Amino acid sequence: MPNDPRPRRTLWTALLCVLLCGCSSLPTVQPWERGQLARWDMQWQPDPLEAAMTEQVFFSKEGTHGKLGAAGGGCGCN
Amino acid sequence: MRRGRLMSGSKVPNDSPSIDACVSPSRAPALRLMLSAAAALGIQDASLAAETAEPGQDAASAQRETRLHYRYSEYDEDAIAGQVIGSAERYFVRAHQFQLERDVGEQARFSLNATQEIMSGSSPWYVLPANNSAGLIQVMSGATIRDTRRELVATLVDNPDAPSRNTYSASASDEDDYRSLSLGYERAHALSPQLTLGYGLSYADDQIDPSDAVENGRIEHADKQSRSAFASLSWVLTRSAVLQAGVQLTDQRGFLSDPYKLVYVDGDIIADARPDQRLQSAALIRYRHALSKLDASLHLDYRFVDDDWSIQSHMIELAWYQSLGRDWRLVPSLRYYRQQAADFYAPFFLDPAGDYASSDYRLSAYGAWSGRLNLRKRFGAWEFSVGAERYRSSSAYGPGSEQRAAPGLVSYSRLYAGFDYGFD
Repeated sequence: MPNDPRPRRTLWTALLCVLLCGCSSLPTVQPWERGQLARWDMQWQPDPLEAAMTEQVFFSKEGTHGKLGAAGGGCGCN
Repeated sequence: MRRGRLMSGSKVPNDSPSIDACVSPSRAPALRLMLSAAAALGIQDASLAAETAEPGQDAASAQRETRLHYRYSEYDEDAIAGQVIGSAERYFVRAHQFQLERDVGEQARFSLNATQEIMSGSSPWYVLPANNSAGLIQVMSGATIRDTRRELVATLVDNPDAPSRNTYSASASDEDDYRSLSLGYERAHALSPQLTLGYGLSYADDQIDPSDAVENGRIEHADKQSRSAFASLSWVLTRSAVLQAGVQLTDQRGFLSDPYKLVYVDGDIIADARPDQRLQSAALIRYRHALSKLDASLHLDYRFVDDDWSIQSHMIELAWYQSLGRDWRLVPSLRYYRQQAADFYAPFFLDPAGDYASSDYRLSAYGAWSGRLNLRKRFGAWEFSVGAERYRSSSAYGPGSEQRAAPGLVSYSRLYAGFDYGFD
């Protein structure tokens, strides 16, 4: 039974709006105001090894996956 | 295993004159790290940002030229509940992860990741309707499965601390019955001081040689190929908040069925059969917010996935990074995941099915909650980390009906410990 396409259309539209909004001007944060952004705990992924392991588990045990980065190969996990 | 990341940078060359010329020697190593983290977030002119960073917020090993990381983890699935034929005990996995990172001059960073996973236990095989029609019987794989998986990933980043940079990766993994090779490329490109564009491509070739194929009537050899592309934008929103949004497309072709699973169809037990093509689209948003007064930061991640097997999923994860003094950190996190079922999934089929049929619990409608707690402590150039995770999935947490619920849904506990160490 195909799923109702409306929710996915709404989500993709919302994402497109977010992307387009990002191209509009934002208040400039000067380099000397960015100390907090440079902290270790403000990285997208502060602990890459732990992230890799959880990613592997979710990849093996859940029906979908996705990330903002190059994907690797699969595994025979079942 | 999925690998390759754009934002893993954590090092600036030790002899960077721009830092040493303007700060005291005692703060220079920490500032180098800040530069690197700033570059990873797409922050240009990061030396000024680094000067204003709070002390004690860096990773202990990061200011060193060579970094070594290690994690040991134990993954233990709960015994299956309900009516079971075969062993109710499921997978137990011990995993070792090593990572060696080294700067190659000032213009490149090389890293090598090695992972070994030792697996044992039973796996859901197929589902039978109970005679009294009041339930399902989960049949487990006949013998305990034992396998070892080894993986090697090499990554090279050029200009790792610059706002615009390239990342190249290659990986190979090997199991008794499965081999995989993959290549990846990523690019981060600064569009403005506030905005960074990211994009990349990857390709993977997987070869499958199922164990005991002839005895069990399984396919003897199969392969599949995966092509993936992503694009993202990262914004500096305020002096304490950053946002990233993007999309990823993954196209898989080849043998996408599970050679070890069977399905009950109209009184027969037949092989799991899925389409030989799958296109998956994912939209992701990540938000990071620093709360300097609390010495903490908030991480919020959301992901929506839609594929042409009629599976849609939502994932949301919330994490809190709390510094406790200069050397301790506590990181609790909570994650929720839910998905709809594939259109060819059912626990069993009482009538003849179409071309495709699967009773794999991973294709059913369900939801899952997981919580994780990580504690870290620094000792000079060392940082030790211990953590625990609990994951619980159920059809009751998801959008599906109880009648199509999969009895094999997995719940597990995981413990891990390790260290990060840096030296010159």
